Amino acid sequence: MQGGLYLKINILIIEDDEAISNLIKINLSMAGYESRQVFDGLEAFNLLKEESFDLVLMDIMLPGMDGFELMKRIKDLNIPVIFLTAKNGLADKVNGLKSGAEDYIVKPFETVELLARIEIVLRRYSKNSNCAEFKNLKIYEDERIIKKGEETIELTLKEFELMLLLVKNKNRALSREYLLEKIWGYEFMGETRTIDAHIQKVRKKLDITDNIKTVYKIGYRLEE
Amino acid sequence: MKLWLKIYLFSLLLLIFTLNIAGFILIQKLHNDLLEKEVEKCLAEQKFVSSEFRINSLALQKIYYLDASPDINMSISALMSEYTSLTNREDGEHGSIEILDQQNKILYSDLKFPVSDEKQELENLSDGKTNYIIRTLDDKQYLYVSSIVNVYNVPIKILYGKDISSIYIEKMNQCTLFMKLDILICSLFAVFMFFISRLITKPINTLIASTQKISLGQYSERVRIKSNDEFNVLSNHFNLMAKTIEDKINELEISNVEKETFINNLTHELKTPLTSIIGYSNLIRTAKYNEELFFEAADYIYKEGKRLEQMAFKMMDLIYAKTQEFELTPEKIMPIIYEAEKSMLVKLKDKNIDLIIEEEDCIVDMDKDLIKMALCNLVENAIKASKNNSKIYLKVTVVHDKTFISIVDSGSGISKEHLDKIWQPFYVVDKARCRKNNGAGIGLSICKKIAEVHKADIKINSELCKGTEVTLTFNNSIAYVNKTIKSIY
Repeated sequence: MQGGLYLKINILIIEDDEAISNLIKINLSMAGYESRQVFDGLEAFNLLKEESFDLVLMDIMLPGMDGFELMKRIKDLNIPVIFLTAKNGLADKVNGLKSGAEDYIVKPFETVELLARIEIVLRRYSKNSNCAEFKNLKIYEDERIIKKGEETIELTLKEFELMLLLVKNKNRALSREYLLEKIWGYEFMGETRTIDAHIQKVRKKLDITDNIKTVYKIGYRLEE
Repeated sequence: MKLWLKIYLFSLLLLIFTLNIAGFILIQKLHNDLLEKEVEKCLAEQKFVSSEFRINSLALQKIYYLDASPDINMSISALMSEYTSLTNREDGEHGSIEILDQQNKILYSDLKFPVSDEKQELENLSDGKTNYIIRTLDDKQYLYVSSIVNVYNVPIKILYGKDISSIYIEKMNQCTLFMKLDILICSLFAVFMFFISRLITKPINTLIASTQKISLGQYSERVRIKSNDEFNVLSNHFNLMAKTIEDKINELEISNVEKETFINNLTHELKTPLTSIIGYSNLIRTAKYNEELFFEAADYIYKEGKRLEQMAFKMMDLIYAKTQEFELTPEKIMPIIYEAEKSMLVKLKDKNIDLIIEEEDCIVDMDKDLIKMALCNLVENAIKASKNNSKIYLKVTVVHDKTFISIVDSGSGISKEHLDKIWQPFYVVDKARCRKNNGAGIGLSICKKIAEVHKADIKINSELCKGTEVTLTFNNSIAYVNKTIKSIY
């Protein structure tokens, strides 16, 4: 997804709380995105008029100009917007989505969730490339193929999804519970050992044993 | 059954009942009187006839000295012809006479109407006794009077009969007339009463309609009844009640909205530091070790944790001021001001700010801890707004029975658009500055609450870039005793 080599995806963070803004920036850069920070609604509006961004993450309660107002004004720019807010009332959610935002994330949020939603929105706008790369591996999401150089490597569906998730959250430990939920779904009552078994197979098949690190008490992390 | 129908039916039934009873009693009484008179008249007539007989027989006896067996029949016919000519009979005026002997053999009769076979009136007759009976034959009423008379020492019976059916016909006529009147009066009454009962109960329907509207939530509904009776009183009281309810409900709604905003703001204020704490700790937990990154994350976690702590303390102060019942006791003001100064010393020194206190002691009814809390908050705000090495003034002035405590700074000031909102909990003018100082925007709402507890006024004057002045005004204070004594000497 980080078609990073060719074109970095540029995300604008409009959040008045410095700590949260920095947190998002760190996480985005870890996931391979470029980002800019703005702490004021009016400033954001001026910046958006001049520069183009692939995605905007926006708080609703902003100094200068609130999120809804800003949303109204930048609608014509056709930039996907995700609201990030502490307001979790249903009315606020409906308002947010009605105003033209692509998604609505309630604070406090999980980083993986934020990244997943960003990816979904980017895919909807076809801004991220179909091909994710890791070392000498090329992962084609739509075709469900992993290529090592020119050679296609056979993986089961679950193994493929596991690898894809790890690559998407590069340098971030993913808990076994999260992986189970994402790949096998909520209903699956399997044990976390299922994950361990699949990880072993992926490690062997792709020859990345050293890259998939076991994180004590948490789960697995893909490192370059 | 509806009230108007009840009133209507009961009054109608009562009218019919009483009118008929009164009418029939009246008719019956009239009839009885008439009948009595008729009977008396007949009795008198019969008596007249019988006494005629007796006198005549006695006279004849004396004149002729007759033997034991004179011809009764002759004397009777002579007498009757005389009687008949005497009375000059007309129809209905006088009755008819029949004369019978002991064995009920008719000696004379001019009865023109049928006579019943039974003749109880002829039994058990004795001297001086008169019997009478009213008998109905062929739908006509007849009166029969009988007595016994000795004629030539022979007892004979004299029967007097009269047609009195006219009295009964009269009664029937009266009854018919009364029935007609009765129906006319009742129907007139029914028509008028229908409208009257509807009119009387109309205010009730108005009331019902209003109560229904109110029960459906239209609390602004009022009853409009124009009358001078109890309904007017009732509707006035009802309107008063509705107004009280409306006010109460509005009050509740306002306080509900306030509470909701408060909770919304509180969750917002809680979630912001929580987002950072959770996010950064998760970063440390899941990311590959990187010293710089980890230090930054830990620093944020620490700062945001501190912010939460600060907010928790302030919240506790606010809740304390809001929920506690305070007993206000008269206290000297200056010692409390010095206590507040003491607890602010560290913060004052940090920015090298002078707190200049202009004192004038007095006694005010207050809760010591609350006043200290309010003063600390106000001084803290002044410190936050002030630049390093500046001055803050705390003035106490007493004018008449009012005490003014003012905190004056020459700091950044507040622009007009914010001034009326700063009392709301969590409202902050400068978010960035507030974050830096670990503020949450609760301080002034605490002060406002404390002022309310003391029935004091709190006012804020501010000009951007020039400074802010906050004044607390206490009513009913007593100038400090020493000063009063001095002024007396």
